[in-house]
Amino acid sequence: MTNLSNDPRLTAYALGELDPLETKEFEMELKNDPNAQKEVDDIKNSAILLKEGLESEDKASLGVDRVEEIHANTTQKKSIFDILKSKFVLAGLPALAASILIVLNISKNENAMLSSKVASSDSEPMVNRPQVAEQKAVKKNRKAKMKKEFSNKLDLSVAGSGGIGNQLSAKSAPSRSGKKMVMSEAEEIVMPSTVAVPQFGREGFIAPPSPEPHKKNTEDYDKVENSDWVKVSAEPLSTFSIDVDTASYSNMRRFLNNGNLPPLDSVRIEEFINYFDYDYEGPSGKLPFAVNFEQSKSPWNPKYKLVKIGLKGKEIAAKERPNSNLVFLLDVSGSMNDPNKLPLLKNAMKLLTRKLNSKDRVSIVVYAGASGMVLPSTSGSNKAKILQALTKLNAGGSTNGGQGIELAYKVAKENYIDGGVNRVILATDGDFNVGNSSRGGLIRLIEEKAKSNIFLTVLGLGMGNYKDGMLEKLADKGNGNYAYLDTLNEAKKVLIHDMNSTLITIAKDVKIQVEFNPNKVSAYRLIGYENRKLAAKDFNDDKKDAGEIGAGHTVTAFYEIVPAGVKIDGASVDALKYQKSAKKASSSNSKELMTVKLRYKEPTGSVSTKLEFPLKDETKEFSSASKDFKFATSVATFGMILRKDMRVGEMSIQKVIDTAKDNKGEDPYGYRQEFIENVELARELYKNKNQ
Amino acid sequence: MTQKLKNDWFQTTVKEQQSPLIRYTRKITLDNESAKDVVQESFLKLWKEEYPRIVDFIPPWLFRVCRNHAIDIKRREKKLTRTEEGVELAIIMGDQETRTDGNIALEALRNISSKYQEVLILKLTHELSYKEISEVTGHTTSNVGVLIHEGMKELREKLSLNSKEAK
Repeated sequence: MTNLSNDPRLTAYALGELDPLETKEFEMELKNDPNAQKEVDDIKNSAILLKEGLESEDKASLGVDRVEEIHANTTQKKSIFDILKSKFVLAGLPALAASILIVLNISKNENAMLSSKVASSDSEPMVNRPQVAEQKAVKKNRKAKMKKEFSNKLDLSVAGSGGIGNQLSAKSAPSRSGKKMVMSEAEEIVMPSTVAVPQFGREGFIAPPSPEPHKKNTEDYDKVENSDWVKVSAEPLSTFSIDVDTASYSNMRRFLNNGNLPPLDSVRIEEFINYFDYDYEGPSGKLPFAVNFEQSKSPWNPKYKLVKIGLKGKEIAAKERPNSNLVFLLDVSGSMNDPNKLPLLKNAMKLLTRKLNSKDRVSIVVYAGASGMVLPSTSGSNKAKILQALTKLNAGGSTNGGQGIELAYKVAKENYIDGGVNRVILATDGDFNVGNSSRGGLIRLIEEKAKSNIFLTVLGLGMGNYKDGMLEKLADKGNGNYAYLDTLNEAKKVLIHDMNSTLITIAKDVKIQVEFNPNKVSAYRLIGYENRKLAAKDFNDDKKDAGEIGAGHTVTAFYEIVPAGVKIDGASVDALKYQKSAKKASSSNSKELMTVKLRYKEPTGSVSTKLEFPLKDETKEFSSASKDFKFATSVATFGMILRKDMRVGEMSIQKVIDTAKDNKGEDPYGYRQEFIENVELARELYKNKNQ
Repeated sequence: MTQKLKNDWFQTTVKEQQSPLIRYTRKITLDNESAKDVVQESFLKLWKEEYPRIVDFIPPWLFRVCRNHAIDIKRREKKLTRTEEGVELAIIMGDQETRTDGNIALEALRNISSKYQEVLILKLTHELSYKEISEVTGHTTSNVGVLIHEGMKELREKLSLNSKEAK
């Protein structure tokens, strides 16, 4: 027996309980004590054994009746107080009034949310309104969720409120008379018993009050503003980085499946559009990608035009897939313990393992309180070893992301394959809370690591504590792509169907700059890409990072364009007094609408190549546009609706569904069909929210 | 916090926490149905709390509430033994739980001193940190560390004994 044997730190260390500083100190002591090292292993193994034993117990459930009872006792009472407190007292009356008016306006018909007009004539007493709306929203969300479950089971279309919906609503809300509900709920407002007074047990365990309660927000999204119209006379150049991420789309689907509309800031329209593949022509010759254009009258405003820029990356056949060095960096901290996090990830990785072969090498690095190598670089043909390592993974402890990133890149570097795929695949819920956990610090770390020609894939997981903004930034700065895995199907899409585009980068730092011809265009707006915009001068600056394109990837961007001579609806900038009219400048006879310039670098290059494509002005009805164009437009519209962007004109959510249905095309994996179902679900949620 | 957010959060919590809570509580009540009563009650209590105040402490908070409630019930039934160290959980790996699983680790756990069982279960099944376990059980954090260390030691001894017997 060693002297460390009786030290509780020994067990704490083995179970990942020590903080990084203590860990370091303890490791120093441990170095000189081989017996204690053996004990650490023994503790770890026993802990795994016991854990497995305990997990083999049956899952316990409260049962439907008890859960219903809980909901019945919780969804009615406090809510009124909370609503009043948050909306009346904190936000003040004007905000309340505004929110009611918007809510009411939508309730009149489902398309009204698309109208920019806000009803202002509703003069009924306001106090009762929000309660009803909010209350119903809560109930109806649940109803919609149940409905979805039902319709999934019975394969019934959600369209139209069919028999099931009515049955459900009859069951879950017996008093459908709005007035009655208002009365009873209004009474509850004044009852003191309904006010949230914290009640502590005699033992009195309760966390000290938080000084900054708003900081405790669980999911985290960076604010995204809708793009404004830009006048060509003020800014003839529009510059942005491509974005191949898809996380925002699957995250939205997760929200809908839980019976909620996604938060506005979580919706990135370009990620919605780029979730889908489009049938663009691929490149010929040496170019890594081809550029496709299409234009028509805008479906949102027929006086305007809609222009699509579509990039298609070179396809690489499965056989030609280069040798790969993949380092999985897995977050196994306590927060990853939910079934939709680590267990989902393990299953996803098992699927991927089956696709690997002797050309591939896989390493697995995990991090929690400390980081460690679970699987040293192993040939993809040694599936048993990889699967065994995966099976052993367990979640527990805090999250020291910085340390894990360091180790993963180190492993990737040690096993670097020249001319092959070198990629770190980070899977996490983004909740870094130990060590270098500052956002800036981690992003700088990743930026530094990206210089070593090792690419990054970020897989987001889980809910309730999800840090979307952080993960998007990491992928953005780390020469990477970013997907959100809400289901095993999504994992299949990202890691199996789209394996090549996820893993093989064919061009990096891809930037697009569009110059508009002032003779043809008076104003424009880019749909989506809000947080990918670059300054005009960044286009030629090779030091400025931008997005990567993978093998076979399609990347799509839409510009809505106000033709010269057409007024912008609702625009408010005065005409410029001192600027020369651009019309008298050169190119007055050009028939070109715009010129699209692209810059990209080879995957391991550092100097960019420039391509230029002029686009002639054409006039085409939206109805005669290609199926892909129309489908992508419906996806963009859906994103705009979720983002409460009113500039969708006549395109209601129903029209989104119709357009998508008519233009579904081949849809080999059913992704487009699923999109339609998602929009239908959202339509029901909007409806329910406003009944 | 808006009502909707609170509602979402609450529903998620009920969904995710019910199973671990019942599994833990029934080890104290030794009865599935009363464990469910206790857990149901704890969720209703949780709803009454101010969300931002406890958001970071929800699992330990729920465990604590369930534990206290379950112990109250046992106390009323006078089924709890009292030791000098205070209330000790009677038979945490209850006899009525199936023993046919043949899991050597569970077997070993049943055979170690009961004062270690609870902390090990909280640590290994429910992933609570030492600090959280101290909040649930009322032990100090360093005491939790000692209990887990000694508990693991005893467990390892039983395990190696078991495997020797098996051989």
